[in-house]
Amino acid sequence: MKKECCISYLKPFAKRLIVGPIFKFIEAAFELIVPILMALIIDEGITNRGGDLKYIYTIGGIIIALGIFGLASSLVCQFTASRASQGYGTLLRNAIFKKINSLSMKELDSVGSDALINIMTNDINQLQLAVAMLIRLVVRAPFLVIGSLIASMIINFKVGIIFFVMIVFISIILYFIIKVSSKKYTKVQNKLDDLSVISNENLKGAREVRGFAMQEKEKARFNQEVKNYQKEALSIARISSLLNPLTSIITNIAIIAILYFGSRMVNNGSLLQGEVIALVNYMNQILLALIVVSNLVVIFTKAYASLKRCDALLSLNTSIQNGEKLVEKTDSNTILVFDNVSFAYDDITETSIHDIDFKVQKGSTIGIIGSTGSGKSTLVKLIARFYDPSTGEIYLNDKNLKTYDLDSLRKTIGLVHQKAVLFKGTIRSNLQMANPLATDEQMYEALRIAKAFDFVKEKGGLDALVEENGRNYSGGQKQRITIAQAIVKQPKILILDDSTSALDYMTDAEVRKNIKNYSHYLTTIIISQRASTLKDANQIIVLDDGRIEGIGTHEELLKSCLVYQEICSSQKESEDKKND
Amino acid sequence: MISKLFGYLKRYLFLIIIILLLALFNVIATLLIPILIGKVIDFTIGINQVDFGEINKNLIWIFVCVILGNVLGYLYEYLMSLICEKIVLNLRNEVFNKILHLPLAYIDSHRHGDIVSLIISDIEQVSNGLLQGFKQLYRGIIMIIATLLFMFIIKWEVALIVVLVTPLSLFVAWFISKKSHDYFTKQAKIKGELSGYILEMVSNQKNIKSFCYEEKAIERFKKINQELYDIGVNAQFISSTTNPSTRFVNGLVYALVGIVGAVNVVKDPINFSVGMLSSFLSYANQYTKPFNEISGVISEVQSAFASFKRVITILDVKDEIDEGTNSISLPVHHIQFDDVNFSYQENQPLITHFNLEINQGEKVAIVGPTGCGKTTMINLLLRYYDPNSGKIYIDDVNTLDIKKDNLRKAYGLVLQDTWIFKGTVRENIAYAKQDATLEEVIQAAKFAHAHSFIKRLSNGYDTIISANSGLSQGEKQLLSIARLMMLQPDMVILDEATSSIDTRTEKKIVDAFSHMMKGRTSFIIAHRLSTVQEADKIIVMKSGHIVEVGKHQELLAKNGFYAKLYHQGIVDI
Repeated sequence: MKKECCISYLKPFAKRLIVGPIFKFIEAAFELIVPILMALIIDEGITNRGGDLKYIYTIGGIIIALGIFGLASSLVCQFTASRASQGYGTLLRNAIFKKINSLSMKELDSVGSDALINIMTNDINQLQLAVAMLIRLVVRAPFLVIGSLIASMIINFKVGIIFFVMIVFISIILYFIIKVSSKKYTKVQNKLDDLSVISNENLKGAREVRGFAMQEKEKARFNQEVKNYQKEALSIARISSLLNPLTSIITNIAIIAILYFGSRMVNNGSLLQGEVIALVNYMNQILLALIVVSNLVVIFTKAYASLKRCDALLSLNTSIQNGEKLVEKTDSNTILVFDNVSFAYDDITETSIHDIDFKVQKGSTIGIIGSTGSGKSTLVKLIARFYDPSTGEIYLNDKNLKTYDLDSLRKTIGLVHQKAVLFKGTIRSNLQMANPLATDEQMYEALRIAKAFDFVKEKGGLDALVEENGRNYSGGQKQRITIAQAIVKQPKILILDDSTSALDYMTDAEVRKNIKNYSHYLTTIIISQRASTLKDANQIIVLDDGRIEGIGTHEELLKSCLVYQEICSSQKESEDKKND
Repeated sequence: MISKLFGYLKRYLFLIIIILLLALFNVIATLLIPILIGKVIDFTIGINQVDFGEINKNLIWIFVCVILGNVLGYLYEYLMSLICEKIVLNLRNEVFNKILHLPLAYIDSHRHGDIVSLIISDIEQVSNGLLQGFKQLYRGIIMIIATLLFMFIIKWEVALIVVLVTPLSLFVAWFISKKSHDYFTKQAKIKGELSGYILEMVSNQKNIKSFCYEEKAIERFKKINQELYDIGVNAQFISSTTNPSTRFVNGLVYALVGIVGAVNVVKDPINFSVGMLSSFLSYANQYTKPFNEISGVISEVQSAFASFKRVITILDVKDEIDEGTNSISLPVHHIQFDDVNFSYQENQPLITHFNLEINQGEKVAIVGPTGCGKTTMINLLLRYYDPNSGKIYIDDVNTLDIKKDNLRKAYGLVLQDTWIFKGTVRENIAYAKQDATLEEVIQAAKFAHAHSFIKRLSNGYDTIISANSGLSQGEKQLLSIARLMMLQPDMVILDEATSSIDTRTEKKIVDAFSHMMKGRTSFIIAHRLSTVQEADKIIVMKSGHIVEVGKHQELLAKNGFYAKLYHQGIVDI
């Protein structure tokens, strides 16, 4: 398979990448000619020809014509650049978004979602900008610098040396100032982030800060951070304010040198008056172009870093190989088998589950219990093939999980995650994400089963708006809607990963009862920290530190499993109390 | 609003006048240079027609102008940033101070992200736009006026040419900045939509995958991305025409000055020399630059004004009312709710005619189903919100007459939404007791059963943590509990303090709590009924209202809502 890289997405724009700079080159060339023509007006028109007005008008006319043609060709270039760079950014964005969606959780976790979002937004924008600048300025600015230098050397070679020295000096100054200030700029940005962290903490913790009466302390803390920020910002200002004065001083000293030596050359006849004016003009032009070049250096350094990040992402391939089999009905009573499964998130960390062995009967309810970090959620991720086991195998309907088509597999599993997530849109759009073909009746039915019907109806039914992150719903409401999402999928296996934690006992129990009544063929796996939630399960798996401590019914485990006894006794207080 | 802005500037009036003068002299020195160069050129006529004495004299003057002008220029820029940063510092402190004293109702009803962006981006915008923007604006205007003035003094006929082209510069600058502003506004909107979508889809890949939603997500993404392309292409093109157009207008001015100037030199060489023409050409070259800068800055200034307005708006919000002067003497013996009425929204009364007496050492439990408004009681006790009518007394003093800090210090609280700030574990635990020794901190952590996980962190008690630093919800709750254990407050409020802690650990913590809370008044919110049965008073709430108050047995005997809840709970456990 051919390796993808960012550069290859430039291909459709190859023509524009060549045409654009050519037109820009034409404009720059015209621009370079103008001071020479102006020198002609003065030396020929005024001095040598003794005031030849026709000559002056002709050359003047040519200058204006060059300006018009220059504008036209420059606009052609800008047009090409906007199409090419925006088009490139668009293609790249699509490609990387597609790539992200094709990767498995293992690769996505290894990059991290913050980094992914950064690549999708900042890095691609940076590359898009670099392409625009590549077309618009990469030819123009250096050409103007070198062209001015050459033009000055053609006029007079000795004076050209002054130009050369000046270019070297200004480049050094630009390099130094940009390097120092960009380094400091990162610092300022970090300080600004600190300010936003403190502000956020004080908003989120308004009750705590006030409850502990710590306002004065918080004020002092913020004050200190703002001062730190100011210190950094001012140190940037001290340096970046140097840029204009320093470059201007050097340019003008060079002009003084031109005038000093130039006047001597004019006196001995090796230079003309108009040419001196032209040289002064080129001098000013070089300064502007050099500043553009230095900006380009910054843009391309940043773009190079972005390019490397994008390429690294594009070169990733999913570690989850897709199978071909579709999930079909079988006569077997066993739906799911874990055969000696162990798993580690990556090569460095310890394995998070070890030697897991169990079977699930079709239509049964399985409970998984264990304290935080015991590996409960990891089991679920393996069933949905977000990850593959490090060793051991998992079988669904007697066939290895890896042989199934991923879509077909995931469509048979209704998975409700621990953290309830809703997407911006409506209740309907959220439910249809899970099953695009669901009818209104099916959706209402699912909401009813998940005990979400009442509040959804109150908010306006299926068309009730869902804001970003579902922030217009409470935690418990979100959990119930995500349960409805899983049900509307009409799965064969329903997995609830601690997904009723924000519900009170009453609602929790009703939701489970509804699910039980909804279908007797549905295999249900419930993960919970509450023993009461799992009491009626056909089988309870007790996990501790990634290992199975016991499998059995509630009664069996109470007799045989120490960990389970401890869990239950810590939750059974009230029952005991009642019996007292 | 303008007057508010000047209010901030007034403090630095003297410095500002100096800055304005600096800019003026900087511009004059800069503009003198082309004239001096022109003079040098006039003494550089041809072979053996060069006056070295005059040239050297003028060259020295150029040098003086260059150095002086640039030193002034540097001071101008630096002092401007200095003032700007000073104003920004004050403004930031003011807004932050406002956050600390805003009514809770304001904080609860506004998005935190919006308020944070006031402190960060809006004030940054004020700094960039209003202050730095004015810097450009001011220097630009002086530059234009001074350039025109200088040109008119040298030769008004040629200067007139420049003036005649001015409207063209203005028009071009205005037209482009307006057009690109429109496109950029549209682009910003779509960009926002796109990043919102990216954020949603990328951070929730687990959900996307389990819904097999990848293809649909890609499709939708492509659609928004295409919209961005359609707008972006135009935004980019229009804005990128600024430089070529300016160069063109500049070139036009340059050519016209060259032609008319040359003709004038030919016709009247005594009053208009080649050197003057050279000065004119230099002026013409830099004439459109300030126009461009000004038009570029105007939209910045506009959005800075909008930002400043937002900042002022929050500063104008009234602080939470804190008019009390009394202080409570600890320990508190008696708390009384006297005919309290309260509602968050005017027409939806929540708590009506509520009366309750609590004595020292009592345990008060607040129970009810999910989302029934249990935290309202806490809001009232700690005066995060005040009752609409009725009074709450602490030892017979109306809480409205007690200084808020003093009132709140009497309580220690652990809230359901744990609060961890960026700092070390130790700082987080010792938050309310800054002078605590490490031993005390460890002791508190041990009580809260947090010690064992803290030990395992990379730097133990010195590990830097934050709200998103990877601690689990349960671990954060343990830290909040340790914070409370550290404080040993007179009264305790626990709002679902152990909801995310596994039951085995919870049991141990509850034991530690009951040890600590002996003799202390405590308020406990829980949805696990098992934790509230031995309470002295149970307040039962249902959809925001208080429906029953009493002891466990009394409430069971009543056979009301509590009994129903309880039996449901029992069936479960």
